[in-house]
Amino acid sequence: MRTPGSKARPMPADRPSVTLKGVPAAPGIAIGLVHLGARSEVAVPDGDIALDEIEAETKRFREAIEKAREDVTFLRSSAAQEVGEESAKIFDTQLLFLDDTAVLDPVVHGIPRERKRAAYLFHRNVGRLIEQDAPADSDYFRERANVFRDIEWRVLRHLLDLADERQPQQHGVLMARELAPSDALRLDRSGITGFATERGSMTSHAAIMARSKGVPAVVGVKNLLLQVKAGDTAVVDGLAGAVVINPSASVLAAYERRLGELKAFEGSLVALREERATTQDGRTIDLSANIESPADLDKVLECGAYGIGLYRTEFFYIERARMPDEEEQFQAYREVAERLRPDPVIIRTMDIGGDKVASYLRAGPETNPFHGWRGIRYSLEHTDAFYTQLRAIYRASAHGNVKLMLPMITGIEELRAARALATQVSNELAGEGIERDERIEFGMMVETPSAVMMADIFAREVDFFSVGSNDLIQYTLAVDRSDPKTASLYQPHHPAVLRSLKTVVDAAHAEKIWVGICGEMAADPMSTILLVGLGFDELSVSPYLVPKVKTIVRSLIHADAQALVEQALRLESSSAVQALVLSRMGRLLPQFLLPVGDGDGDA
Amino acid sequence: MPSRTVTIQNRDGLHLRPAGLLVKEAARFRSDIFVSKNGFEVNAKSIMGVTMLAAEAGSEIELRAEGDDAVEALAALAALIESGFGGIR
Repeated sequence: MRTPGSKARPMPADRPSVTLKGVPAAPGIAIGLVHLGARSEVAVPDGDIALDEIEAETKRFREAIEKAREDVTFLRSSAAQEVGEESAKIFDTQLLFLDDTAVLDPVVHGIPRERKRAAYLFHRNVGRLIEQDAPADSDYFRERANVFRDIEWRVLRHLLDLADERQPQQHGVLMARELAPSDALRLDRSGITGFATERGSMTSHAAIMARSKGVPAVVGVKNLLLQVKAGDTAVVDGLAGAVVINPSASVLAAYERRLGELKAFEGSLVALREERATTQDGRTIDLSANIESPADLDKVLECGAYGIGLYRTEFFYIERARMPDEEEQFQAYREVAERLRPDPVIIRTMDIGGDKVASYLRAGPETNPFHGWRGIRYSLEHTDAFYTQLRAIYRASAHGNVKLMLPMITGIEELRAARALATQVSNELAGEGIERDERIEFGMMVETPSAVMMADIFAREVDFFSVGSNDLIQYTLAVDRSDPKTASLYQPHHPAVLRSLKTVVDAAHAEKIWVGICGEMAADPMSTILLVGLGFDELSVSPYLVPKVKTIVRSLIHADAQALVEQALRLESSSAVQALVLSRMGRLLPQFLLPVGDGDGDA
Repeated sequence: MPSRTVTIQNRDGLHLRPAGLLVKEAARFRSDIFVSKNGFEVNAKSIMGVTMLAAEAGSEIELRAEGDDAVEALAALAALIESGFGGIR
């Protein structure tokens, strides 16, 4: 089959080789079997409702909207943690869709007026809003459609009560017309090593996420789906912007060589895998990884992390319709513990509420969820769910080096109440003859000013601290990162933040407990030197960032970092601190100061 | 009804992300707020609406507001747009 710009060669297989061009969206090379990405279409039938069904149907619609909101809020925070704040913002756009009167009103009014099903009205209306005045050949309008179709799909699934669609493991390369934001986020977890889409541009969200995740990608490949079939072998060349379908033996060999060269180049980072994050003068810091589910384990094991510093368990509670049971949780925690053993796995108990909610646990509307009914407050109110989770964690503790951590602690009574419940769980398990680690380490997140100020008291009652930097900075500086007005005031190098961190570290070490830190600051090259100098014993970061942070730590001299911190602590402003760090890092490790951007902007 | 004309400053124009910032800002006010480009008007609090405008860099859009905080709303939105949405591209 010959088409302009393609190479066709006779092949041992019956399909000729085709090379297609597109926009190189994320660098790298991927070679594998082709999987066609087609999200299952939701069939939306027309349907009438009876007079007495109006109220119930309206309620169902509103609930579906709220469930979609929870899902996206979770995805948003997931993206922010895993990939970066920039990628997370595409989900903000989806949240605004859920608030849009143009989206909601026609349905809410249409149900009584036309007496039609909410799903039908919603689908019809969203279709109009997406198509209306959208020119045919515009990257921007296609991206817009992609983003809004994704959230429409999510609402429809809830409205039609469709089961959770879990992505099966597919190893190979993905080819699709386009990638929805929520699919792009989960890409690497599904085993896909590269992708190509017909639509999209350098700045579309899929490209941004691909770059952030290091997944090679080519977008804007015209007629891709006409040329490729599931099961073909393909090369995704994200450097040249080419897709080669069914490459000939020699072309394949050439690409495999190039891939080998690229891997060797990255090998200097991978060679670090077995090394610890030890400074030049011999101080070893535990550099661990963050995860959300066992699906992340391969990535963690590859990246050279020392254990898991934060296993966020909200995954069980959010993208679900019902509360998870003990057995389900236990299996997941056990798998993680076993595969990481003997390295530590720190499981954080459910941090629900605030900007992460689960509908079946919701108490009622909150005026300022940021000052939230979340974390430990939530757990102590919903003791059934908390108790179940504690049982699962304690049972898993028999299978590896498991530690437990409580979120959002602000007062000593909370800590003691949680501890009492945990002790009760441990004793009950003992009574049932079920194995658990009696000496499981029990720690807490330090993410509020109150926890900082009382760190000396808390340090006597826990086995470790973990500073939740994102929230601690927000609460300390009275900033909401998701609010455009205050977002620029979020300053990790603010003297108040540095002093808080020093207080926490000193209080911990005075009681001979260890202290770690997670959140964006833990992975920020501009902060690593400060965190090392402050005396943190552990940093927990996204697996993608482990090699980079490890390289930085290994280049530092701890004594120098300490001296730098002493200087920094005498400064009065964030900009002064940044200038100080910049000048030191500029001399030491200039390559880490190159902006690793999301690209040239984003849609 | 108070109104103001502003020019889109940021390089890539009023794409999805700045549109979202605009909608979020508009939502802070009680007044009804409208944005239009070339006579095509949308509700400034509607993300579907605002993302339809696709106003490029350098193009002019008109803001209109009706309500007790109308003047404040227009000032805030104009400032946001004229600052290039806080420097995003």
